[in-house]
Amino acid sequence: MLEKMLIATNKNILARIPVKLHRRVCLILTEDALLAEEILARKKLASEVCGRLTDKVLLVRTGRLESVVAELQRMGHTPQVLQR
Amino acid sequence: MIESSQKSWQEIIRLTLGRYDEKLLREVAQMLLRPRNEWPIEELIERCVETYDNTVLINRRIKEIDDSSRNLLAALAQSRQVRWKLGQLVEISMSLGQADGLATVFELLKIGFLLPDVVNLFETDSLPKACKKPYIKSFEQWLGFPGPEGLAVFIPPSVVERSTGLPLPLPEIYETAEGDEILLPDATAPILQADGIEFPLRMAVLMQQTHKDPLRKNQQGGYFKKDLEYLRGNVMISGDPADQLLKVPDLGVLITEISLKLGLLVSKENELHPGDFPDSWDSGLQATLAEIWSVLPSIEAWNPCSGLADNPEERSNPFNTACLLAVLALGKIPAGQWVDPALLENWILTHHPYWPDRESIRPSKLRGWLEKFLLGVAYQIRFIQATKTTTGRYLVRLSPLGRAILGLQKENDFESGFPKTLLVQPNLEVLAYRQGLSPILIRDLTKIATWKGIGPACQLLLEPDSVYFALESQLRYEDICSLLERHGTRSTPQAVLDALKTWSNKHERITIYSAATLLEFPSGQDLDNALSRGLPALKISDRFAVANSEDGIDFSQFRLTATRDYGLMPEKCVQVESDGITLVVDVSRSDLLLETELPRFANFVEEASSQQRRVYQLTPETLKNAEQAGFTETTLEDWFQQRMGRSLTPAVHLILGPKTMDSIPAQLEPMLVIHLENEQMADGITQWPETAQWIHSRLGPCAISVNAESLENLKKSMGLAGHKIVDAPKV
Repeated sequence: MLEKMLIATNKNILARIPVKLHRRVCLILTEDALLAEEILARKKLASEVCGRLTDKVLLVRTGRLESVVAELQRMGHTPQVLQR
Repeated sequence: MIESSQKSWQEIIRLTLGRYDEKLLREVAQMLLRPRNEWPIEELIERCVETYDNTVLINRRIKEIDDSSRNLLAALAQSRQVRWKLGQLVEISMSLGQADGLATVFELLKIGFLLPDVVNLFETDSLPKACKKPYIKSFEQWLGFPGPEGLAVFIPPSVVERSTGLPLPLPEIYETAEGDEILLPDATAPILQADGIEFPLRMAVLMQQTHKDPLRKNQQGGYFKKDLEYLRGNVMISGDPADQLLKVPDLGVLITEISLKLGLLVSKENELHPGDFPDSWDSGLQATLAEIWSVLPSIEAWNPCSGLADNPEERSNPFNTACLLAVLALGKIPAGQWVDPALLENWILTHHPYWPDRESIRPSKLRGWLEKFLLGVAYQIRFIQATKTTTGRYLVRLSPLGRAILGLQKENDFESGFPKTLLVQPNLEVLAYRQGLSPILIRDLTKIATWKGIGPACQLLLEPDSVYFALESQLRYEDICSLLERHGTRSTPQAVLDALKTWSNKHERITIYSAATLLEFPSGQDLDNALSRGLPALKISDRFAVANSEDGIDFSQFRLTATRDYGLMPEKCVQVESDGITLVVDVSRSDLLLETELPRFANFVEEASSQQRRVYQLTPETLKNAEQAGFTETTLEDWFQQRMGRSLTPAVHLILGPKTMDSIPAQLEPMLVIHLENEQMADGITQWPETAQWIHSRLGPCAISVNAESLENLKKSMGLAGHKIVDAPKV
């Protein structure tokens, strides 16, 4: 019985985890939800955001990175841009 | 610009030899490696490529070539420049005493020590593809039709290395003409030598300033008038150096051109933007200055005679090779001996092929340029030492660092011995004492602070923008503090540390991923499991993790259920069940936006979902919430069309339908239903006026409804046609 449980546990550990990949995603990760709200309240930025994945993660439209960074800087933020 | 050190020289040579016609390739191979067998072309190219790493063979071939070719090789090796225009090589060869400079170049091409630059070494970012149809049939033919790359050649670095110590046929003594004064150094005059950081400093300042305001160039490669005026008026870039011996014309242009060649500035659509600091800056002052020295012969837009050479017709200037020859000539003079630059210039004018007929050239174009180069440029890059004569004129000689770069003496330690050179003040100003500056420190300071002045003590200012720039260069708050502590003469003031902390904290509040990989797991448990196995990603929700790059992800741990490019258009990936309110998402085709849209108007049904399908359900509550959040019926209709290719279901219409007082409510009334034998009979009853007058409505193909009062009349009318209506058996 114990042996069977061990085998089952090992299988569970070694099993490959199913995952779906989304590539080339442009997103903004904020420190808190309030900051995300602040970004969404800015008209110019709201138009560049195409979705809110979580309360702190905003999806940016493809190809709009530079204008988002520029607008954030105009707001007084200093966003950290992670380039690949 | 391709970084020569980064790309494989073997690949460049392979690509070049691949463009040789078979006959020409075999001729070159015969001279270079002398094969005993007739190898196939591909193998022959490989063997030639390998030969360049065979130092014994290269040494042997160098011994075998004639003196003129060896002299040219020696000059090229000392220049440290690998790419040359053909005309420049002819000029150098002729200046070294060869009557036919082109023949010397051809000799070196034939033995494979020079190769045509068909890959455009300094212009393109990537190497071209291998050539399927070789087009260089002979070097004479290439001379006539060089292709878009122009008449340029390169010398493989291994040949440069083996040619460095070769002697040059240059004089050791320059005697004054009869009757002229013999200049001797003043015994009391000091020996002047620059610290060598003037050019790196100015290049760093220029790079920083172009970050905000890029310089522009027109399509002919010239500067815009406004930008040229800015360059010329900029004190930190074009102003006189603190230890200037002689004014250099258009110093700012020269600094810009050197920065472009070294990659500190990069040209993007006719604008000059900041690039990266070259790797040589990490290796110290000697490597930095050696690299600056190596690009000087390739600068076309500037010359020491008139400064900016903006006119394309003036680009074919002889000064690049003439100045190189002058420095090489100084290297030939015994160490410690001084030379009058005018005598050296005279020798160049006599031997360089550009000045055969000196009578026709204006005196201003003929004299004084070498002194400007030696005392203005070579002195500032620490190649030259200078001293004064009793009459106040300058004499020059090669400095120890110059001799080391030319390979004439062993390398010494030329680095600064004052690591503590910064004075950080509470008002965020930083004083950098020049004695302790090195290229690497200049590079680091450029990243964290704004240059405000350069001189014996340079001034910088720590600003939000400059610190932000530093943080963007992947420096952390700790790195900046550590740099200031390491090089500060005193500990960094608390006010400065506080300001840095505030700015860097602000920087960490918002992170933007430009092209991240988002990993979507079926459940939070799977995500936790993946993270526990060392997935290099940041968890951003219960099912999502983000990674900046896929490089560190061990995909053997995962089973990819789907891959989706964020840039692609949304697909139809949702189906609606027959109940009209259950939405089933096909996970293999769904995109990230769907994940943000669906939760706004539907509930996730976990028990009905699996790895391949995610089930959501619309309810009056979810649709009401969506409506309050601005998700109108029209928006929902558009979403259904985009994601399912169909309109809203009747069930959704029912839920969303008008519920106001004005709308007609559903009515309840008792009614009798008559089921008929077939559709034709039902059609007949509703059509024949005798029966139709008693019918209330048709309910379906074979069913009609009748009021209880009209039933008897209908029975009579049906009887007229010979039909009966009977009661249905009671259940």
